Amino acid sequence: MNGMMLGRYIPLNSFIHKLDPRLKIGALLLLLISVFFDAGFIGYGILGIFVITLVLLSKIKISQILKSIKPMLFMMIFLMFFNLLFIQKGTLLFSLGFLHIYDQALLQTAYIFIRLILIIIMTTVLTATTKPLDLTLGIEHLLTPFKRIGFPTHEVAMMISIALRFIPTLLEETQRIMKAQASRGVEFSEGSLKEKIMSIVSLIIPLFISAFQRAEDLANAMESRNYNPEAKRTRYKQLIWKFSDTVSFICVISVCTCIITLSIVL
Amino acid sequence: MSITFKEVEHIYSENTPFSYHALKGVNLNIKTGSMTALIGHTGSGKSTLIQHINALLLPTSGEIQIEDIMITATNKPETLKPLRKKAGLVFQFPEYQLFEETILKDIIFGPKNFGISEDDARNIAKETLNLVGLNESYLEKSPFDLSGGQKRRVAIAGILAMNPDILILDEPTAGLDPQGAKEMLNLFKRINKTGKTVIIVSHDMNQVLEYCDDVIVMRNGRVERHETVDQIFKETEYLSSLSIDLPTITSFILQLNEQGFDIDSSIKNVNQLIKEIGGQL
Repeated sequence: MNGMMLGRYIPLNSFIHKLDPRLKIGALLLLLISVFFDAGFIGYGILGIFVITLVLLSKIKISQILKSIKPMLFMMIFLMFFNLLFIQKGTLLFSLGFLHIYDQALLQTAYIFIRLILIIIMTTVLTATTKPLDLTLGIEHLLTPFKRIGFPTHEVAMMISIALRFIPTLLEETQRIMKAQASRGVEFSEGSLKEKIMSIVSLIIPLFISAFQRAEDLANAMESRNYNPEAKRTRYKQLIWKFSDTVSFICVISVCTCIITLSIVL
Repeated sequence: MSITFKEVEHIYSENTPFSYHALKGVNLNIKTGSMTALIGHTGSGKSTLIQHINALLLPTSGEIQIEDIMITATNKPETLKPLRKKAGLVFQFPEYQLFEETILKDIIFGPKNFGISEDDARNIAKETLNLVGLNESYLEKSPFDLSGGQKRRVAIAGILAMNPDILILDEPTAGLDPQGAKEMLNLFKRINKTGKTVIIVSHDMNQVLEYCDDVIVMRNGRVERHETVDQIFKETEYLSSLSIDLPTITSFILQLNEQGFDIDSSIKNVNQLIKEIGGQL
């Protein structure tokens, strides 16, 4: 679990790291939408080149990007397998007993593969270049317009930031408990199904107990400092929109427009 | 059973931006049946070091020999299970590892994992519970109804029940009241007297002086000293460079000696010190 890359911030000093979190979140949303426009392989080529440029600009190592794809690999193979078998359009390429593979299925599966890879890389770039707290700050800013219709912007942002804040803590806790139970002879990777269930129980129960304990402690700590979600508060960290943000935003917009136009034209 | 470290290095998350060099060329030989204190600042590598003894962590390079078992970077996990029984590791705040419905079940969890029959394990559980100072009426209680100190005792009993030859304790008395801490340390000393090797991570030099034979000092991932308790507390300048305070009694003797007394600074208990002073007054 130490090698987990998914959603982890990587402290580097790059162009992408310095961009405004609001821009990065907005750009990710736009790019995610355009991934789902079917602009053929030309469209994915453009998006692919754009995403590769992003990765290079962010100075994140390719090996780390690959690491972030790894945990999703199983789900991807699972999805692709079923797609390949259940889409029955186009011409039949070959059949094996009751299995029929069509050329459209092959094409669709290739699309899904490319889409998933692009999505994972894009989100990894966002989370790897933006500190969790900046991320929530950005989300809170972006949600401000919804305050008018009674949407609890601050509360939601607070919940997200608390959740993000405790992910590493809980991971650490998990590891600690795993080690403690391993010292008592539990083997998490081996054994029969019954032993495996027992070993998971010996991990889950202490984890839940300490998580609830932490939640209660945190609630008490906030309450004893008179936390009031409705209170107007100032921030130490101010988001400042820079010229580079505008330029980046224009780049993203043009790539997205390009993809969407392509998908309509094709 | 003798524990030998040879040029052990440990690097966390190697080849990532988070990589951290926790152990640097550690050489050690801990004698069978000794009671050794491991001291040093937080982040000096104490916890990393002790986790190598029951192979929770494998060295990045170098080797560790524990009796007939050799641990190297390439060990396979299944060869290491006997080691978990041989070396019982009690983590800091071990009460977090409790999970069963009753204290009995929690204590026998470890022994059962190492293939001891349920009946034998039950008897062992009763004995160890007495050993840590709780009576048999606790066996059927839920561990979550206990006070913090009692939970700690039950968790330690869970490790003792495995009857390890080496007992490793990471700050076992942190957060206990002085009386409880004393009882625990006396228990570890008794276990040590039965011929078992005990290693204690501690920040309390009074405990180190009173209970331990040897001291290992770690700084920045290196073992800087490994000598007897008497020797280490003579090196006052070195200890103060680590900002480690002397035990109360030793520092008192040194102050007396500065005022013209001549008292052996390795005296460990108050009564002996009074006698010594009385003889010279």
